[in-house]
Amino acid sequence: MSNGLSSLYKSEDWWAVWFGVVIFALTLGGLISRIPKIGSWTDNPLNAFASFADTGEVSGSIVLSLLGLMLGLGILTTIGISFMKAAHPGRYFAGFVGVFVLACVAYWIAHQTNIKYWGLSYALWALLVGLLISNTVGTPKWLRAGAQTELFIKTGLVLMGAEVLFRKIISLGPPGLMVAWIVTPVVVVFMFQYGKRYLKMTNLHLVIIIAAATSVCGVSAAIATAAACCAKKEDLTLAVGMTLIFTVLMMFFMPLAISGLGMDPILGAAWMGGTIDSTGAVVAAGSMLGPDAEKVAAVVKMIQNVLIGVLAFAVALYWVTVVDRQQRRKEDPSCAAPSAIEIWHRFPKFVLGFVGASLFFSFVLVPEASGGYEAVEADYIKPVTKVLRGWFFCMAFAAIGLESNFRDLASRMERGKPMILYAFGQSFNLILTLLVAYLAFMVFFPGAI
Amino acid sequence: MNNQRPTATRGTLAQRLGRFFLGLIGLALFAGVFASGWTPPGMAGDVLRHNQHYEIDASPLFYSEVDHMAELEKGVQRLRERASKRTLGETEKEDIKN
Repeated sequence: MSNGLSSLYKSEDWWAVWFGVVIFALTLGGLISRIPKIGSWTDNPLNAFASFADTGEVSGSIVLSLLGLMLGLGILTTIGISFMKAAHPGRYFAGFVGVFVLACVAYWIAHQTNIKYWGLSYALWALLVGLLISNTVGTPKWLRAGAQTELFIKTGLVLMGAEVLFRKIISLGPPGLMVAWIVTPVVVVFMFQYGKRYLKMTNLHLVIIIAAATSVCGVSAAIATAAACCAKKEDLTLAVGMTLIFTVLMMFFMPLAISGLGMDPILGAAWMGGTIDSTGAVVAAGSMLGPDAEKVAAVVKMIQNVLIGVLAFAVALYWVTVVDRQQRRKEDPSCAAPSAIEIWHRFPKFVLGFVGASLFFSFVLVPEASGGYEAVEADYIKPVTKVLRGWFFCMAFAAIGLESNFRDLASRMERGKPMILYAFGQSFNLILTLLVAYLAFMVFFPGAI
Repeated sequence: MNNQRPTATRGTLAQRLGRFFLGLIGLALFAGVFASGWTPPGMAGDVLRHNQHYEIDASPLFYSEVDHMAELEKGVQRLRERASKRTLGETEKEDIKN
């Protein structure tokens, strides 16, 4: 990472912040009001890109808007790439177009109606499409130039900051906070210590990513943590693969177990909200228990989602001050504790953009907006920043697939230890969440809902 | 995240293209199974059939991606208000009794 003032225009971290600032400024200034997204389709794949009149004629299409988005994002990121000298600008732009097209393919598959019911998100399809190319024909050089995974992830995370609104944490009152904010940090610390000390996993990056994904919000938390601790792409791929598989399984079986045990639906909803990794699966599983359970499950998950900013900041700080130092002490036993300035230099700056965006939207924009946070969500977040964040993440996963191979992924399995960590950590999460949810909703605040 | 070495692939172009098309067919079949609307038999498929019936999108990764999240939040607010009124009502009844 470059130090000093030059890092402001040479480092990827700062460029992610600048891209975020530019996008937020254009959005709040009213210059961007809507970002195109691939539509849903059931039988006709073309419905993803166009709507048709009864006569069969095209009545509306997003193809031109998608081309505009590709050009806009391509030009914006090429400016950053030029300053960073990360790749030749022309070659980067050509590669970016390729990665954007792969992201469109991933979204197109993910937005098929029946696939959505399974909870298989764009992250899975983007990874698979990238892996297909890299592990068969090999990723061509021109395409690899556009696969700037870190830049896409960091920019996506800065944009995601706008979605992390702190007002949300009081949505369910004290019981919601108990389930989401007491259990989660305990599980993260427990899983990290279990992986490090008991399983003796050497890859601590993978340990913290799996811990974050299991306890906070699956793929989103995995992305944020991986970027905050500078993990390798294969670590993120493994953690995301595991979390996607277990999310589907938990969505299938938790409602059945809760109904079978005759558990109170609100208690069951809080349990699922605190343990199933992705929000979509939580909503689907909660809905099986009834409309009130669906609401409670989704809101518990939402409160937990807000922790993602705190988690990214804490992991980045812990890695800079503790883990990196331990690594350096292995090489040089006389290595002293890092000074404040050294911590600053090593700290991933995009995390400041992520947390800064969250604080700005939560405590400056929302209180100032005439319609409160609902207006901010409806005007800026839903139509613009959330959609752009999705595009950046989707391109990031396609890029990860393009740069990964199955042999490297297999080599990181450490005789199945990541799977053991996930299974044991998730079991601990299930037990602790159920206990705290029971205490919160049945003992301490029985009349809360 | 750290940069990785370029991915290695072996074989002639024809062999690599062959592997690519085989992989593409595999991916298409994999996606096709989920896209077909098939659900596992018995209890294991209950959630999927429920999702199909009520058109529930289970794919959002983050809360902001759920289309009706605002309604769910308002619903919880109403549940809390109802619970609060219920508790107040019970307290008043107890006060009257006493």
